[in-house]
Amino acid sequence: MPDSPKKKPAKVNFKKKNKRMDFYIFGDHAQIWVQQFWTYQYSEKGGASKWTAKEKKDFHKEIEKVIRKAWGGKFKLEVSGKSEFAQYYAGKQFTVNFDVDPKSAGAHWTVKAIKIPKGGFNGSWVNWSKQEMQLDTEDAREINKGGGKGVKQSGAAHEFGHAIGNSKHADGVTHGDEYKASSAFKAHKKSIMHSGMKLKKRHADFLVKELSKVIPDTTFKVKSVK
Amino acid sequence: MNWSLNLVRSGAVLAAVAIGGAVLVNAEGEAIVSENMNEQASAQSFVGKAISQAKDQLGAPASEESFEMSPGVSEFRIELRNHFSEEDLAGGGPELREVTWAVSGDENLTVWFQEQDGQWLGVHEMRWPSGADF
Repeated sequence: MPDSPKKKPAKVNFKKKNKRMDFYIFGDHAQIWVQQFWTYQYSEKGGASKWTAKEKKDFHKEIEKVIRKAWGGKFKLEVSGKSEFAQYYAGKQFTVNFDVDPKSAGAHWTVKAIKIPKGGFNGSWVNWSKQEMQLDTEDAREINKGGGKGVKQSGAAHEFGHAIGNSKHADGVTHGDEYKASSAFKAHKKSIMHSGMKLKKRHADFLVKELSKVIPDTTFKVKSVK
Repeated sequence: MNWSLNLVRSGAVLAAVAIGGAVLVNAEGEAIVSENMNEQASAQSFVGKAISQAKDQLGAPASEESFEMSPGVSEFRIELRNHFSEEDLAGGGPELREVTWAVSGDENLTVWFQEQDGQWLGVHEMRWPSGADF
């Protein structure tokens, strides 16, 4: 006997606001959007000139461009579970996209944006528990981080990985910086959480865990990663 | 703060401050505040200073390791690239000692030391929030 046609759920779009990011699920488009709002705090270091209004705007655009290129459209998720949503969309592949927007107050993250001299270096970091990160004007540049011949990484792409849950401080996540001697993934030098730009399924661990809380009886899982 | 702060008696007059062990005592010689480092030491710069001096003033480090500096370093060590160019490192970089202290409950201090004329001297330092992922 052929399967009876699946009943389309009454609700196919969902939104969930979280402390560090918001999630949007669009059933019919098989799309998931992860959105973060950032409040910037600007400063200069190493003799760099004062930020101009245009530089501040361009900085955000450049960082978001790097993030979208590195992370956008790479994870394909599938759903399972007893919900109408899970039953109806079983077998569909959901694409995960990312959006980062500036916001003057009430943002998910406070970003300390440091202007440094061109070609200079400054340590960038993410403090998961305090919802703070530090980035600089050289973080969009891909540089050698010790990943081997030809392997390069941009600081912005790597730090964003922490901000979407690749941190040992994130609930239920056991991996952060993979270049550390203590990391189980120390050998994966090309990984974006090590010294390269390559995404791995585990890099969406926090995302799928949180997405699986959005719709009752609906579990998301990474099917593949580009 | 990582160092212990034990207030034994409030409102007492400070009579002495023992800088090395950083024990504050009152006129009767009773400890008012004990800590394993003093705030003055934790706020100062250790660039150009000997590793022994830093350890004397900051106490036992939280971590310490040695490595050979190279052109490709992790984000945590990236600021060292301001001190060593690709050309400097082409034939193999110097050995550095990376020493980290928890200077307060929410701040760490990492100082990198390089051997110069038989002494390990600070070449760069970085203050960073504890719990940060680089």
